[in-house]
Order: sequence, then structure tokens, then C-alpha cells
Amino acid sequence: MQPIDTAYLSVFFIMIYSSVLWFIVFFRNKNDFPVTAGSPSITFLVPAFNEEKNIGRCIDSLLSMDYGGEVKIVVINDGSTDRTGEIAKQYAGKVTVLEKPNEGKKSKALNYALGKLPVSTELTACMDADSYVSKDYLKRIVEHMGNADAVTPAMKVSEPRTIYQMVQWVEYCFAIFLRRVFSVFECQYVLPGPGSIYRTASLKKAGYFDENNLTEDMELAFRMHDNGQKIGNCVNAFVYTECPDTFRKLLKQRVRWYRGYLQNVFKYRHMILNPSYGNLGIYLIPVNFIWIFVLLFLFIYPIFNIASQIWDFSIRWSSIGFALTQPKFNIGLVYLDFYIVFWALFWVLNIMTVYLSITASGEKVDLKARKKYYIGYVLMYPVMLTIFWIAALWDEISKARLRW
Amino acid sequence: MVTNERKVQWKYYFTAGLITLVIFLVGIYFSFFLDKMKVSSLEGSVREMRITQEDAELEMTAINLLGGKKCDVLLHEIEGIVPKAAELGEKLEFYEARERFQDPSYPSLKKDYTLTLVRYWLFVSKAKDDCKYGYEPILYFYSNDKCDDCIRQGTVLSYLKEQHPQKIMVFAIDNDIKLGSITLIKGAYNVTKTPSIILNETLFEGLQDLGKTRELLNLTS
Repeated sequence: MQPIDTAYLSVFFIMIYSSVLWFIVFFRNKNDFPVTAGSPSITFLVPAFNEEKNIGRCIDSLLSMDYGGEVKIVVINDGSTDRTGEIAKQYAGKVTVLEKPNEGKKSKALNYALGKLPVSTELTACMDADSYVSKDYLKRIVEHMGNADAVTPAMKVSEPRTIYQMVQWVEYCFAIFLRRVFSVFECQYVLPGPGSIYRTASLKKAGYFDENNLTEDMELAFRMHDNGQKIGNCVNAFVYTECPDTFRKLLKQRVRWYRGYLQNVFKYRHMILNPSYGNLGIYLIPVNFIWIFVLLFLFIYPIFNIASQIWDFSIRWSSIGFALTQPKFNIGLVYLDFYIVFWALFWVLNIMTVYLSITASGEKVDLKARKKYYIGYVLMYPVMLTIFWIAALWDEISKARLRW
Repeated sequence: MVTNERKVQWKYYFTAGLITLVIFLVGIYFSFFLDKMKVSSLEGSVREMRITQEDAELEMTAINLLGGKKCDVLLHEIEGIVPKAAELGEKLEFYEARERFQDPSYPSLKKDYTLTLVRYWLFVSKAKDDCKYGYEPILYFYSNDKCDDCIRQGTVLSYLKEQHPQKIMVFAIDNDIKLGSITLIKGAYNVTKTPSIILNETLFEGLQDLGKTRELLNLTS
């Protein structure tokens, strides 16, 4: 056995282990939720920059929520040059609009609102202006709060149109599943901008949002863990969000996210392998690094392999003067690769995870209608993910300037 | 600095580790099982090849004793056997090159195949002389150990065989295999390096490129 075989077997072990762990945690805790009685008051902070197409939909969804408690909505018009402010002001009486010159960061807009208001409600929520919520989102997410300091929602992609959005649709379903697992493990490391809610006192205690961070929602999650604060999750409080529709936009978004992750892990590096931070320190952060290496290995090694095979092929082909020959298809038992069993195992677990993710997020698998989604996810997502990570690592290492 | 220490839920990790180990071991077992099936399949093919070759030799003997149109019958047999032998050789080569955990019975299997192939070559060479067939049996020595020219030579021979299936028959022998008969043949023809081809009782050492090989085989295209 060659060293490369040891590497492949290790990678397979990691992939199978991760899937098995997620399944066990998910199934053992599927119906284990904290339940909160009552309908505490809440303020929604909606920072908006040039969102004239979406702000109305966002506000309408917040106003339509089925919730018994007091709901305040504050739109922070972050120096928009379109009709965002004008549309928001049409909801006068139901929505407070704060005007602010644009400083390029959502965190500044949120902190501006938190400092200016102040927020007097028991809970505070953040909502991206391009997102909207389901009618029962607030009732469900508050119900699942328990004694948590913050709770994350279940985010879904709104009306996917391009193949990139379809792939992200599947990805976001998977994220709903993973967030449930991370919630049980108390290692949620991001509080998504659209729809996360906080106890106002806990948010104040945490110190609001870091305005110097690429991913302020992730940094806040790390900080809350550092403070010993608890982050919960609700798998059926749905928030629908707009996603990048082109590869270029998606790459830009993901490079920011992944660079943000790397920067935040570095900032909170004292958590790594530290049992004081529970599963976050012992499992999630180290395993994320292992997964980066797994991705890079699975992507880069086959490229070398293919390049080597192309080289061998060109040598052979040149020896016959580049003549055209009959194509040969190696079919038979002998040609089955040793790793076929492991690849089959991995794909079975992968399909089970995707199936579980989709059903857990309240969607129907609907193979016929969504075949493009699944084909795109299977064929494109691993490659895209690897490219995003390579780009993020490259940017971070070269310390490229990145505008949010 | 964390004030409320979090619990690490070791039970989940251990349970997942145990289950993964079981799944993994099952996977390893199936991979070995698959390997055994591959070797078993190859053994079956080599056995079949040997039986066919012995049958053809017996046919020739019978025809010599009992009379009959031996050359027509033999040509038909040879044209059926040789391509199958070449295909089996490719499968063996593929298995040897790719398999991570080679079955311990594989080296014997390869020797069995090589001996049968050499018998084929001897048989076909004799049949060519007896029946004045137009094909050219080529005994080709190659090595899998750092021999780029072997790759080129193998490609040239395969290509010409594909172009002229009625004329060329290639018997590819691994130069590194330890068999008395192979050593004898190599000694008889003075084979010292790879690639080497023996054609019409003559040794040609080193890479014979496409043009040169065509020339040796009197092929016009």
C-alpha cells in the first residue's frame, strides 16, 4: 500500500465518521427542544442599502407574522441612493426609519440603531432587507429559545432561478440540518444576519457587533461562546433570503465568509482544542480545518492524477503519430477500483444526508421538479466549495483587501 | 474567557467512532472480497485459455494422425484464441498496476498466464510454418519497471494490431517474470534489454518506432 492509499483511506474515514456523527446527534435529539412560554416583545433591526426591490417584501412579511407579543420594526436606511428610504417611510406608524450615511458595513448600521434607539424590547432581531419570513417564524423561534441568549433560524433560498441558486438551495437545506446538530453540540459558530434573535440584555452584554470584522455575525457568535453565552437553533422558523445568482457574486460572498471564518478562528484561537469551550473547541474548529484539507486533497490530487494520465496518453499517442484509434471502454470486474466500495458508502451517506436535510427543512424532495438542483449540487458543489476555499486561503495569505 | 464551561459530549464521538470503524471494516472486507473475485475471474480466464490452447494442440495432433484439412480449422482457432489472450493480458496488467492489496495467488496466476502465452506463441509459430499462414507472430518483451520506451512500443504494436488484425499477433511477456522457459527463450535470442521484439526468429532490441515496425512487418500503411 502506497502513502496515497493511506491518505485516501484516512479521508474516507473522516467523511464517513462525520456523516455518522451528524446522524446520531440529529436522530437522538430530533424532538428535543427547549420550549418557551409567552410572547416577549421584540425589535427587528433591518439595515438596508439600495434594496428598493426587496424592502417592501421584507417589511410586509414582518408585519404579517402571527405573533401575540409586541413587535417593533426599525429600518436603518444605510445611505441608499435608490427609493429604499422612500418605500420604508410608506410604512410610517408601523415602521421606524433611521437615516444614516453609508459607511460600507452592515455592522455599523446595526450598532448605530442599537446605540441610537435604544432597544427597549426584551428581544432584538436582525433581518436583512433582501430577506423575508414565514408567518409562523417568530412564534416558532421564540418558542425554541429556552434559556439561550440567541437563537438562529432556518434559512432557505428564496425562489432559486439560476443553477448557482439551485445549488445553494440544497446547501441551505443541509445547513438547516447541520445547525440543528451544532445547536445540540452547543457549537453554533455563526448567527446569520437574516432572522437571528437575541435577548437584548445578552446582546448588550456581548458588546453588539464588531465593526472591524469581515463577518460580524460569525464574530459575535464566537464572542458569545467566549462569554459563556448560549446559542440555540430552531429548524422550522423559516427565513427566505436572496442568494448570489452568478458564480462571480457567489465567489465574492464565499471568499468573504471563509476569510471571515479564518480571521475569527485566529482571533479566538485560544478555543482550539480547549475543552472549556466544549464541542466548539474540541470538535468543530479542528474538524473544520480537517475538512478544508480533505476538500483540497480530493480536488487537487485527482487534478495531478488526470494531468499525469493526460501526459501518459500524449506520450502513447505521439508514438503512433497522433493517429485516431478506436476508443476502448474497459468494462469488467477487474476494472472496478479498490475504492469503489468506499465511494459507494460515501455517496450513500451523502444522499441520506441530503434527503434528511431536505425533509428536515420542511421541503419535499420532488426529484422530477428539482433534478437540476440535485445534479448541480452533486456535480458542482464540491468543486465550487474547493475553489472558494482555495480563493479564500489565497486571499487571506496574501492579505488582499476585500470590500464587504 | 468562558465562564460557563461546556461539556464535551464524548459519548457521541465514541459511538460514531465505533460505528464508523465497523462500517470501515465492512468496507475493507468488501474491497478484499472484490479483489478475490477479480483474481478468481482472472484465474478462470487463464484456465480457459490454457484449456483452449491444449485443445488446439490436440486438434493439430489429431489432424496429423487422422488426416483432414488442418490448416483451415487451425486458422479459425488461432484467430479466435489470440485476441482473447491479448485481452486477458491487458486485464492482468491493469490489475497489477492498480490493485492496492494484491492477492497472494496473483504471482502464480501471472506465471500460469505467461506459460500459456508462450505455448501459444510456439504453437502459432509452428502452425504458421506448417500451413504457410500470412500472419506474423511477434514475441514482445516489456518491463513495468521504469521503461517509458516499453509504453511506446506497446502502443505501436497495439495500434498496428488494430489496423491489421489478420496479419499481426502480439504475445507480450513481462521481462521481469522468473520462469525457466522464459529465461531459455531470452537466452536463445540473446534478449538483454526492454523493449525487445522477436520477429521471424530475429531479435530487435530497443524501441522500434511506428515507421520502423511497419518496415519490419512489411506493412505499407
